[in-house]
Amino acid sequence: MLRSCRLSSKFTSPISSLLRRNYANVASSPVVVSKSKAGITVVSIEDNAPASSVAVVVKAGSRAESTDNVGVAHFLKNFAFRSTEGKTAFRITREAELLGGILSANLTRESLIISGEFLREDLPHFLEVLSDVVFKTKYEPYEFKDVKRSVNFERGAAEAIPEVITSDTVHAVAFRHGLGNSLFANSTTKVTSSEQVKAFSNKVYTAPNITIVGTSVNHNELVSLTDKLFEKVSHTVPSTPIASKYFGGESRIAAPGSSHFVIGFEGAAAGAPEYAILQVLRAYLDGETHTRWGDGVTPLAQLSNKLKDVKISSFNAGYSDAGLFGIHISGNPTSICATARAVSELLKHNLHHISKEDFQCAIAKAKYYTAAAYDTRASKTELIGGQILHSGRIIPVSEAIVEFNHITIEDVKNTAEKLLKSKPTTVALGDINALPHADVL
Amino acid sequence: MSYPTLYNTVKNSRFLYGLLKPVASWYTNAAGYRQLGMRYDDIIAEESTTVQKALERIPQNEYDQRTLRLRNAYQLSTQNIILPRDKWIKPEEDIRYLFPYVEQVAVEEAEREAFEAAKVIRK
Repeated sequence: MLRSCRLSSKFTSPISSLLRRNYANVASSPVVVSKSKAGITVVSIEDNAPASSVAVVVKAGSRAESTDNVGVAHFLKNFAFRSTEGKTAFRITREAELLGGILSANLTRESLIISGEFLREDLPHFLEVLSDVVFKTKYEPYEFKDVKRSVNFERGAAEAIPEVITSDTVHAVAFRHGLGNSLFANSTTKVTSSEQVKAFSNKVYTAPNITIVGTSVNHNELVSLTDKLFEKVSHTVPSTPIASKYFGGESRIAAPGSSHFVIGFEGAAAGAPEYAILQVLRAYLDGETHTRWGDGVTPLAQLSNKLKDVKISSFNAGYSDAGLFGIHISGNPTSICATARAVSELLKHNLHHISKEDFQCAIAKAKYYTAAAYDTRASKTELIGGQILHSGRIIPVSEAIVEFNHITIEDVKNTAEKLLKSKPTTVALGDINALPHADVL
Repeated sequence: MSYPTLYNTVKNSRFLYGLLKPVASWYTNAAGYRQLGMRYDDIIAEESTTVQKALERIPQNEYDQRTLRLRNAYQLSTQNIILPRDKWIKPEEDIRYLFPYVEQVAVEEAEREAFEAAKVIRK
């Protein structure tokens, strides 16, 4: 049959029935959660995408490290897809390539995400690869040399990016341990053998610590495969990590190249009502211009457009039990001084003058940021896996957005006042002679 | 590194084992490497990529001890002498520290070959 004929025959079918089907799909709850026989939480998100993914989200981010094995999570991440008892690293890679899939491992401060992306029918193969990574990785001593090389390479690449250094340092200064642990194993790491990595993996790969998140996969198939492949998982309840404590302080690092300055405050845990308020404050303070020829509506965006040689961005990092809110300024050191002063003025005095329009605009932006986090496969997996692991409950995007409707200007002002009561965390990177000190601001 | 072998047949048969073991022991001793303080795996020809790769995988202390044994043996060989009898490597000290790695590398090389020649058939 000619392609055009086939196409036209599609149009002859009653359009109303097509529409009804589409609406029904959108309306039905796309997220399904259940437990496998071994006690692992299995989540699947049906988003009707042509490609599927499945990920093992493990509560094994850098905060799970203890003082005697700092950096081990980074090593564990790089041991993913190395040789297992059944398959060599070469075979795992080649098979994934032949099936047209992508295997990746990603480390955040709270979780380790080992994932595969593939065509819908290849789910059994990729889930098996992931279960092999979890249970059957051999952690051969000779592979440790290779892993160490890639760990060092990743650290080197990360240290070349000032934003990564400032973000790592601001966490280290703010939280010291736990959330303050760097995402990258540094040269002082005490991890010197694959045995240590293996011991850490045995500790973290337990049923209460693991969530399996699939997107665009059949939920029943995912659950039955998980029953089979993950039945030997250990049931040890992991020791609860030490609660995060905010300290604050100052760090100044001399470095060539552009200058950076970060001011941070104690934020709120993700999911807490204050977190949403801080999202609004973040949107209000945001110094980025989101339209191409606009001057920006927020005061900081206007300031950075006026000065021309600084870039301002704000962040609001929410973790399971703590958060970090702050502003990152980069560019010319003198302009950074001026900007930092303007930022502290704004936070201290000017928040009372938020106009209604600006506030509405900030709410809209905050809603957009929140919705955008549910956007891609990777971010959805990370977000939902984390929510299940830390609170045991998924917050649907609609609920997360509705929350913003109840926020008032008063809430934002009160939260900002509370923010300023915490000891600020500042990081200066670059020309430290010209960059401002925390106490002058 | 794979070649046809009757090793398992001999090992599983009591008769053959009893018959051949004394001959094998005599042969190994006659080979003379133990008298120079070496293990059997020290004299595997290392001029191949497979063995080179296997040598990269053995633990560092094994590698250092191997180097030491080879140097001592070379010294003895240039002096045309052998070790005193009590310093010979005993059969139970003659451990195959390298061969498992050689086999592992060989399997991996065969696997790579097989993949290079593979045809993909989608179900």
